[in-house]
Amino acid sequence: MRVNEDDLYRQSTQYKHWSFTPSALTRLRQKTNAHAAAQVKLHIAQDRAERAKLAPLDASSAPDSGANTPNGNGAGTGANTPVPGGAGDRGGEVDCLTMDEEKMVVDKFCETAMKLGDFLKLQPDVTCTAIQFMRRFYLYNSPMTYDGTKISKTAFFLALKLELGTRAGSAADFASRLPKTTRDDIVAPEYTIVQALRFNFEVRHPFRGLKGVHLELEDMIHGSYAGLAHDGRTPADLRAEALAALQATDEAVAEGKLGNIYAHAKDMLAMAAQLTDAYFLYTPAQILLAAHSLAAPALTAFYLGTKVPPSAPARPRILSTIQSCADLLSSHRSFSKNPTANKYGWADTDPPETKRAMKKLRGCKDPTTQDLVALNAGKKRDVVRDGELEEGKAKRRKLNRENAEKESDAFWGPELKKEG
Amino acid sequence: MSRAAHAPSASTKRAGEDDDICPVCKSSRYLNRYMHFLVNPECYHKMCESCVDRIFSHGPAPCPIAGCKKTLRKARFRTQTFEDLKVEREVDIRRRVAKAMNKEETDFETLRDYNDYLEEVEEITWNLILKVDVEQTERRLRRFEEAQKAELNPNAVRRSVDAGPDTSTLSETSHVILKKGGAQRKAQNVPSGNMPIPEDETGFSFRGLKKRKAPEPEKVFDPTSGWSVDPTYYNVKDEYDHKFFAVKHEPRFYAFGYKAPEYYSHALRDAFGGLGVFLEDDRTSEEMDFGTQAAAIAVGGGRDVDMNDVF
Repeated sequence: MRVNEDDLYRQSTQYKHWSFTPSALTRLRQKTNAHAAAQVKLHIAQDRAERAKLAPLDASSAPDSGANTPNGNGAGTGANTPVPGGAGDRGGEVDCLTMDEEKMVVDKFCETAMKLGDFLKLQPDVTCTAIQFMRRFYLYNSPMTYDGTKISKTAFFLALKLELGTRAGSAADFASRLPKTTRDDIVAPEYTIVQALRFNFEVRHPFRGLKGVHLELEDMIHGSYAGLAHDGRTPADLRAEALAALQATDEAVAEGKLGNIYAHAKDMLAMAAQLTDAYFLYTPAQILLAAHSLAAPALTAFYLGTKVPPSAPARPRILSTIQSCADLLSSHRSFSKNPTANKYGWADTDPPETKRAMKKLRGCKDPTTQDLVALNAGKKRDVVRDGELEEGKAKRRKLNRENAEKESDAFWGPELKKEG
Repeated sequence: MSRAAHAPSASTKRAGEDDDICPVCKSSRYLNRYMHFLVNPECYHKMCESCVDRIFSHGPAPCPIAGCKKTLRKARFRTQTFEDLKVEREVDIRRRVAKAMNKEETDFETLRDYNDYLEEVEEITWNLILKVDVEQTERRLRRFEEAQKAELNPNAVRRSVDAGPDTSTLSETSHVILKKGGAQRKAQNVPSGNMPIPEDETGFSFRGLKKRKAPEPEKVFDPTSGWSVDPTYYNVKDEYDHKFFAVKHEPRFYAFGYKAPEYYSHALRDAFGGLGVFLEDDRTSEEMDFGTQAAAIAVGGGRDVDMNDVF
C-alpha cells in the first residue's frame, strides 16, 4: 500500500476543512456577512430601545444627545456602544459593512497583526500561523461581531503555544509584552476562537517546502542531483541547464543568486500569501512554486520541467494553477519585483477604500460582543446578565443542575430506612 | 462420637477396632488420639503416620504389609480422599489417563472419530482399573504422552538428544527419548499429517486425529500497518551539500533522535505535497464535505457555533 505526497496532503485538516473554490469562499463570506449584519441591526436596535427608556432621566441635564449618552449605568457594554457614524443620529438605519468591506477590514487586521509580530520579534512562522488563524476565524465570524485587535492578540497567543509548545510561556507573560493588555484580555476570546477554528490547529505553511526546493536546486548546481526516472538528463546536463537558467557562469555566483531568490520568495510567502486568500484557494506546494516563479521565472520553469515532464497529463493543469496563484500573489500591493530593504514600507499607508471601511466599522459594531472579558466571565460563572437570553440560560442551567442532583441521588439509591 | 453409634450394628467388633488400629504397628486410637492414616497409591495399603516416618524416612522400602512386595517412597504417601479405596484408586487412574488422553472434539476431523477416541480411552481406563494388560497399557500410554510432547515442542526433544546419552539414566528413559526423536522426525516427514503413524512408535493411534500445528510466530509490529510513502516528484538523498540550512552537523538537532535525512524528506514532502491537488475539481464534486453533522449544520447556518453553553 503506497501513498504519494498528494494523498498525504489530502489527509490534512487544511485540505479537509479550510480549502475552498473561489465561489464557495464567496458564498461562505456572504452567509457570514448577512447573518452578522442581521445580528448587529437587532442588537443595536435593542440597545437603542434600552437607552430610550433611560434617556428621559438624562434629557434635562444633557441636552446634546448625539453621542452615546447613558454611560454610567454599569451595563458593561456601555463603554463600547457604537457611535453612529456621520450618517446620522440614534433613529437612523445602521449601515453595516458589506462583504467586500468586511474582507478589506480583515485584511487590515491581518496587516496589523503582521506588524505586531514584527514588533514582538516573533518567528515568522508564529506570525503567519496567527494570521491564518485570524483569516479562518473571520470566515465564520464577522469583524462587526468580534474586534480585530482583541482577536489578534489571542490568535498570537494560540499560535505561540502551537509553534513553541511549552516554551511559549503563560498568558500573563504574553500579556506583559503587549501594551495595555491583561491576562484576561488574552484568555477571554480563546475558546471562541478555538471553536471557530473547529479545533483544527494545524496550518500547513509553504516555508519548509521552499527550503526543500532550494535543497534540490543547490544540489543541481553542484552537479550531484540525479533526475527522476522519467528524466533522461544526466546530473551534468541538469547543472548546465540550471546555471543557464540562473544566468550564472560558476557555482559561487549561482549560489549567491539562489540565496537572493530564496529571500525574495520567502518575503512574498510571508506577506502576500498571508494577506490574500492564497491559503484557502491553493495548496502550499502551489503557493510556494508561484512565489518562486515570481522571484525567478526561468529557473522555476526549468525546475518544474525536471519534476513534471512535458508529456505528463497533469502538466497544463499544474502550470495554470501555479500561474493563477502567482497572479493572486502579484496582485497584492506588497508585491515588488525586486527584494527591497524596507519590507513593510507598503503597509504604512492604507488604500482609501480600506480607510473608509475601517471608519464605517466603528458605526456598526455589535454591542453585545464588545466586552469579551465580561462575556467570558458571565459564561463561566453563571452570572445572570441583563437580557432575556441570559436569564433563560440561567434558568435552564439551574433546572439541569437540579436534575443532575436528582439523578445522582437515584444512582446511589434512596437512603436506607432505619429499622427499630 | 459417631463411632459409638455404629458400634451396636457391628456387634462382634469393639469400637474403633477395624478403622482405628494401624495394621503395621497395631497401635490404636485409644492410645494415640492424633493417629493419622496414610495410603500410597502404589498399593493402597493403609498405615499410620508414625509407621511411615519410621519405615520410609531413610529412603524407599518395601511395603510392610505381608504379601505386598511393592517398593514405596515416603513422598508419595497421602491422606486418602474417599473412604472406599477402590474409588480412590479409580479416581487416580482416571486422572492419570486423562492427563495423557487430553484430546478435544476440535482435534478430530469428525464427531465419529472423537467418539471412537472416547471409547478407546474408556477401554484403556477399564483395563487399568481391572488390571488387564496393565504393563503394556502403561507403556503405550507413556509412549503416547512422549509423542504428544514431542509434537508440541520439538526443540525440547532435540535438545535432550544433542546433550548425548546420560550414563546415569541410560536405563530406559534414554531409549525412550531416542525413539521419540525418531517419531518426531517421521512425523515431520508426513505430508498431510492425517496419515496414521505406526502404533509402536506413538503408543496409540486414532483415526481422524488432526496433527497439532505449531502456532505461527508473531509478526514484527509495523506501526504504519503496511503503508509507505511513495513520492512522485522527488527522491530524498541522505546527504545534501547545502549552505544556508545549517541543520546538518549540529548536536542540538540530533537530540530526540532527529536526523538530517528526516528534515530533508519533510522539506521535500512539504514542497510537493498537494502540487497535483486541484481544489476546483475536488471541491465542486463533493461541495463542501464537512466531517461531522454538527459542523455541516453550523456551516449551513452560516452563524458561529455557540458551543460555550454546556448546559
